[in-house]
Amino acid sequence: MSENTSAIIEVEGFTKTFRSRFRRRSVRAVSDLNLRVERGNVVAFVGPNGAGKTTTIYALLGLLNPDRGQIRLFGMSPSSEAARRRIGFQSEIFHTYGFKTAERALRFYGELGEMPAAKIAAAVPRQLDRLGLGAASKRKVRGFSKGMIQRLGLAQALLHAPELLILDEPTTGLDPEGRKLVAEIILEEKTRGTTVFLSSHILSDVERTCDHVVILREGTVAFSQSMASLRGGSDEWEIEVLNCTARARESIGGANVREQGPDVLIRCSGSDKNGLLRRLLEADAEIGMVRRTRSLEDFYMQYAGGSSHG
Amino acid sequence: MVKLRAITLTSFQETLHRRVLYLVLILAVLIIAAMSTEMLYVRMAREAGETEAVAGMARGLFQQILATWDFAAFFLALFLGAVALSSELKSKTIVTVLSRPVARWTYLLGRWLGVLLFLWAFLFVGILGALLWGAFFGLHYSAFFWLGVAELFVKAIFLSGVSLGLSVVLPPAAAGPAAFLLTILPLMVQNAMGHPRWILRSLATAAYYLAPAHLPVDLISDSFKKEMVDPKYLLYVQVLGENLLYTGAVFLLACAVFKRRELRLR
Repeated sequence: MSENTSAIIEVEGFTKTFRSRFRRRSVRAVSDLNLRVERGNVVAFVGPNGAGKTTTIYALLGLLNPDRGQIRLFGMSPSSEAARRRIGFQSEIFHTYGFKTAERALRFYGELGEMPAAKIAAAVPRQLDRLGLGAASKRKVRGFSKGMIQRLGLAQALLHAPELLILDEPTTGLDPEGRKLVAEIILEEKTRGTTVFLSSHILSDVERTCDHVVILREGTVAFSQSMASLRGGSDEWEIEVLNCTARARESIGGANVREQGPDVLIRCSGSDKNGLLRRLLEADAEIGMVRRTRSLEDFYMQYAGGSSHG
Repeated sequence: MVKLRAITLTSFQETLHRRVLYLVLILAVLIIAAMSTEMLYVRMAREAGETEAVAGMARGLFQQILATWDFAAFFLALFLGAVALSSELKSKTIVTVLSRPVARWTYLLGRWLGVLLFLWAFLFVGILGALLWGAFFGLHYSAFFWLGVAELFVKAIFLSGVSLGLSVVLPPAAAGPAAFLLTILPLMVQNAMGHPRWILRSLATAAYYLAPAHLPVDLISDSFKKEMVDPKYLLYVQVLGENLLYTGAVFLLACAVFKRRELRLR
C-alpha cells in the first residue's frame, strides 16, 4: 500500500487472543476487526470495559502483534519507526518518571520523538501552558495530582505536533474543567488537520468532538457510523415541559408522556413536533429542552449496553 | 544517539532513586566502619615501630575494603540488571517510551548503560576510597592489581548484562539468580567432567563450555603476595575478553527476543 493513501489507519481482520501460561485458558480480546480512519478525521472508539479498545490501540502502536489480520499506519507497519514518528499517544493513565520535573519529562519524550533541541525548547513551555501546567513546569511529577499527570500525558502526546493522535481515555481522572480543555484541544487539533483516534467513555465529549463513531462490543465492531448521519438519522423527538400546568397538559393531547415529578417528557415524531411545540407555547408552557431521542447514548446502550467486563 | 543518551540518563537517575541501593550502601559502609577497630592495631603497631606489621595490616584492611565493595557491587549488578526492564514494565512507563520511534535494542541498551553507568561510578568511588587508604600507608601496587581492578569493572558489565538479558525471558527474581549460577557453573561442573558415566561427563562438559570463562585466581588478593609463580597475564586478559564477548552475545540474543516480544501489561 502506498504512503500517499488518505487512510491513516487501516485495520483488516485484526484478531487477538490472549492465552494464559501453559495455554490452559484463552480470551479472545478482538475478533476480525475492520477499521479505516481517513486523514483529518476524529474517530471515537467507544465500548464497555473489556471490549478490546486498549488491545486494538496497543496493536496500533506495535506493542502487540495480531494473531490474524493486518494493521497499517500511514501505509506502514505499526512497528516501523517511521510510522511511530508521526504518532502522538496518550495512555489511559499516563505513567511517567516521578523523579523528573514536568519540563524534563517533556524534554525526554521530545528527544525520544527525534525533535531537534531548538524545537523541544520552544514546544515544551508552549504545551505546558496550553495544558495549564506552565506554573508547575519545574515541579517534580511525583507531587502532581492525577489530573495534572493526565494533562502532562496529553502534553507529551502533542509535543511534536503529530499527524495522528491516539488518545486512550484522555479524560480519565480529569475534573469538568480538564475535560472541557481536552475537548477543546481535540477540536483545535482537528482544525490543524490532525487525525484523532479517541477511545472514550464520555459520550457527550464524543458527540461534541468526533466525526465518526465506532462502537466495539466483545472484540467486534457492533456499530460504525458518521456523527452526521447519526444526528440526522433519527425522527423521534423528546420535549421536556417544566412545571407542567393543567392547561399545558391539555395541549399535549394524545402524545406519549412520561412524568418526571412536576415536569413531563413528551415523545413525538418529527412531523408532530412543530405543531405540539406551538400548542404548548400558546398554553404558556415552560419548555426545558427539545432533542432527538436517538442520542449517541441510545445507540451505545443498544449496541454495547450490558456487556461490560470491567 | 540522542535517544540512547536520554534513555541511559533516565535509567541512571531511576537507579539513584532505588531504596535498595541505599540499603546496600549503608551495609557496606557499616561493614567497613566495623573494620576500623583494626585501625587501632595498625596505629599501635606503628607507634611501636613495627613497620613490617603495619604494612601487613594495612594490606589486609585494604583487601577487606575492596572485597566488601566488590560484594556490594556484585549484588547490585545482579539486582539492577534483573529489574532494569521489569521495573519499567511494572510501572508501565515503557508504553509511552516504546510508542515513540525507539528501536527495541536502543531501549534495552539504554536501560543497561544507565545501570552500568551507576555501577561503574559505584566501583570508582569504592576503589578510589581504598586507594586513598592505601596511599596513606604507602602501599604499592603491581600490574596484577590493576588487572584485578579491571576485572571488577568487567564483572559489573557481565553480571548486569547477563541478568538484564535473562530478564527478557525470565521474571527478575529468576534472572538475577540465573546469572549468578552461570558464574559459578564452571566450578560446579568441573569435577563431573571426569565422571565415568558418559552422559554425566557430556552434560558437565557441555555446561562447562556454555558457562562464561572463569578466572582461576583472585587477582587483587594475589597481587599482594610476595612471589607470583608464573603469572599468566595473557590468559587473564583473555578470560576478561571472553566474558565481555559472552555478555555481548547474551545481550544480542536478548535484543532479538525483545524485538518480537509483546508488551502485555496488567
